Amino acid sequence: MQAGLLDTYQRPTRTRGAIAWVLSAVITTFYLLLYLPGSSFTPNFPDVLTPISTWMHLPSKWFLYGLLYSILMVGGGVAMLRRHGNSNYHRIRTVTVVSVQIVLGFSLPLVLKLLDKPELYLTYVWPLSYDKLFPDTLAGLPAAAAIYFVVMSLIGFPLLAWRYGKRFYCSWVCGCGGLAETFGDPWRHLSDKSNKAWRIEQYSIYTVLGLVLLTTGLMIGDGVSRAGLVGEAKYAPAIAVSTQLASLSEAVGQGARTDLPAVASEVSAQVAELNPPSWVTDKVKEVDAAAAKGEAPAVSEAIKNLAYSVMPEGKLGPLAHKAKAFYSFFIGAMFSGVLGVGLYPLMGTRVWCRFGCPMAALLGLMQKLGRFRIAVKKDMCISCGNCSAYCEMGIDVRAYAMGNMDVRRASCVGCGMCAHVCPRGVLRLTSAADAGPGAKVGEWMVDL
Amino acid sequence: MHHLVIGNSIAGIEAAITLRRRDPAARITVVSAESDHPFARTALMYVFCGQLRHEDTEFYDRGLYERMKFERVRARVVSVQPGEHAVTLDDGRTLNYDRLLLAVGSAARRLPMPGAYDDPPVHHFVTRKDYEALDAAAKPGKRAAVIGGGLIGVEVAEVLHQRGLKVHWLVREPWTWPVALDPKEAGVVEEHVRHEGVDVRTAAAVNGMTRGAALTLDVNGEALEVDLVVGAIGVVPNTGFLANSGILLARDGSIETGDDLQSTSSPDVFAAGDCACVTWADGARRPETLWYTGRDQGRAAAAAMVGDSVKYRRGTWYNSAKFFDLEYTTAGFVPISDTAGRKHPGGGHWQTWFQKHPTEAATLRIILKDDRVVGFNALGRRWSTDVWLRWVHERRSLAFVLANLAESTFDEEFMAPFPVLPTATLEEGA
Repeated sequence: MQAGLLDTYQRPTRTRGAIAWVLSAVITTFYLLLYLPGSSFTPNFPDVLTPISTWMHLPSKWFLYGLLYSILMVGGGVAMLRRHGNSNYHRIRTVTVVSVQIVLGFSLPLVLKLLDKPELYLTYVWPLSYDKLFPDTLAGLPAAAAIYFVVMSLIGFPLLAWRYGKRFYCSWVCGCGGLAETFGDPWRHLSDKSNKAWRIEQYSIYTVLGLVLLTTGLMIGDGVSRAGLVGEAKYAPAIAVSTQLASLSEAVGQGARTDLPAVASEVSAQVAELNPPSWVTDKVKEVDAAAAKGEAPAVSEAIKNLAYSVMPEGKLGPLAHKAKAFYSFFIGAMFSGVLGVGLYPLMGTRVWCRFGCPMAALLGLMQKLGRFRIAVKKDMCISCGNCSAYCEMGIDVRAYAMGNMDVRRASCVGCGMCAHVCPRGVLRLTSAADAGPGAKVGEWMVDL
Repeated sequence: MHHLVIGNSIAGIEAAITLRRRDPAARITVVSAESDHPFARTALMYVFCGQLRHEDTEFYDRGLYERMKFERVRARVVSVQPGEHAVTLDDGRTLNYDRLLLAVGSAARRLPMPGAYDDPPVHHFVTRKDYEALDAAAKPGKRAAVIGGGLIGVEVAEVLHQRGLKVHWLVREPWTWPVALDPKEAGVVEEHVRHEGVDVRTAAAVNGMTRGAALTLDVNGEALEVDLVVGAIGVVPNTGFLANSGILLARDGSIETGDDLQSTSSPDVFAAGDCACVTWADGARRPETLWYTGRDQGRAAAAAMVGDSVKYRRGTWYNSAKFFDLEYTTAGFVPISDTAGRKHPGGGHWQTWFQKHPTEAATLRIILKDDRVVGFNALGRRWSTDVWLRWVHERRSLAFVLANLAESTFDEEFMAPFPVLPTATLEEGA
């Protein structure tokens, strides 16, 4: 099915040549400039992207990132289809994943932001978007959105993975997967195929899933314990402040209060009475910053956040917030962002998806229980190695094909490239019900 | 017990692995002149064009020999003395064995026309050495003639064309690959390959070649100037070194074996893969030059070597191939058309159902005998040979097969089903 031959190994950009190293350094630098400023661990790192996004009249640096991301996906998608676009599967999949990025990954949040509504990234649910089940995240969302994220995270997406394989997400919807499948396509063959990589993968991906479960558990535990404190008299002042902050947030949001600096100092004064921990005072600074810029919606949102944060803290609070800060910086920013994309030209496109992504881990387990598989045609493999070479997840597809075994692997993202490059049509992705065994090849003979 | 395996391609290495599984304590030696690690020569074309690296074609990890405790010998066997249970290597050493497996494969059939092997000789594309020589000689912009209308011929034509050579594909027969395709199917292949920019010439007999500044071929009496020639007219068993060994060879040079793949003349000598003469479903005796039968024969021979009762039979024919972007799938009994057109394969009532896809380069041919389906031949689309073979064995009718055709599709998802149209033809004969 592959149209023409690929000249992969004749291109220095695709074979870890000097250009690939330079490109990797450029991407890594960009991601460091994106994630380091304002992070819990490097709060004072100089921010060069926000001024650029302001100059471009974008609401924040994240929209600048989203714009660049979308452009890379469109350009990469066109290039990908020039290589592999003789296949309906790749055409439909690529157009879908790029459209999802442009519409749900960029345009919808931008429009919502411009309408002063919460930015919703509907395709990012827990556990990839690790904070989507945190009580303070859900509290800050409109009820419908909160229900959507809970249901999709716990039921919707896992069920789809059971029915169609995790490819429905990883190769058709997810932004990380989308970038890998388009912009990253030239480097898919660089995935590490060694047994060692496979052993590391098994530990690392479930470790990250464990970390996200732990952090989420702590945050939910903290929320529950705080809710249990509401009736107690000694917490009355904090609850009173929280209530006042909530009404202030509403007033600013509805335009009833426009004297933002005055609002900010009121907020500071009220919170100061509670003798708050540092992660609460950090949120006061966010209110001050928004007020200084004169952005009413941002002020309203920051106060709303604060209203939640000043609520009495349970015993889990400090630990939960440390876990969150750790996960957010080391996994969310450094692993999935900086390494995940920065290593494209050197280690292939799915480093994060394969070794880290908790969503891939969770949906992979559903996939393993479910219907999706790569069906192998019996006794037809010529051992050429194209399938394994072009597997971005480092799966040794050839070993399955040579052994007449269907491929049922939790890690498979269903990109379809193994089947596409197979010169003998041995492989077929399917999530149809298993029809049972075909003929036992070689056991009978046609008698004429 | 010392098992000596000559050849480390699919037949030899699968035999060695089976031997190790069956006999953990045996001494197993694997001899190869070609490579340290088994590799898929089926993928030489992909290494040539840069789609794969050589190491990607190695179908087992490099720890295999150590894990399996195989002794690796890198040498060429120059003679076998079955009486002494010994082989002689090109470095002068002698190896003794208790059981010997000859899995020495095949080599390119030499071109018969005068001048072919004058200096510089023509190229072939079967071994790694062939690959290296062609890789060095094939420079973009040069002119190449590929002689031979089969699978290796079209693969070489494709990779040379992709590298930027001007390629003339010279097929002696009236259409390409007549052993597998009928004229209509071959027409689709030829049109497709021509469309890619290759000069396809059928009924093109190369009568000789002369060397001057360039190579000049005499093609049907006309001169064709090229810079290099690749001979791809099939393979012959790589058994020249057995000529005086006393091991019985068939007329085509393959090693005569019994049902247990043991040499019919020399006890304790076995053969598997391209070099072994085996019995086909139709009773004919010749080698099966296929990758997966090499694997199966290797495993069967190994079982026989450790004393199992073995009867190797391949079963109903099926195969697949690829012509540039066109995949080819066949299963069951598809008679070979002779050069005059259709050929009646024997008694009974034979019919042929045929349809070309209205818009794609895709065809489907179904062979019927006495109103039941006995064979399939298809280009373009992907089909499940498992399902086709089941239908053949279940003696299905044409109506059943056409009604259930979608069940046998193996295309990527989102492909429209191969349409069954009124334009399909059902002709007498096969």
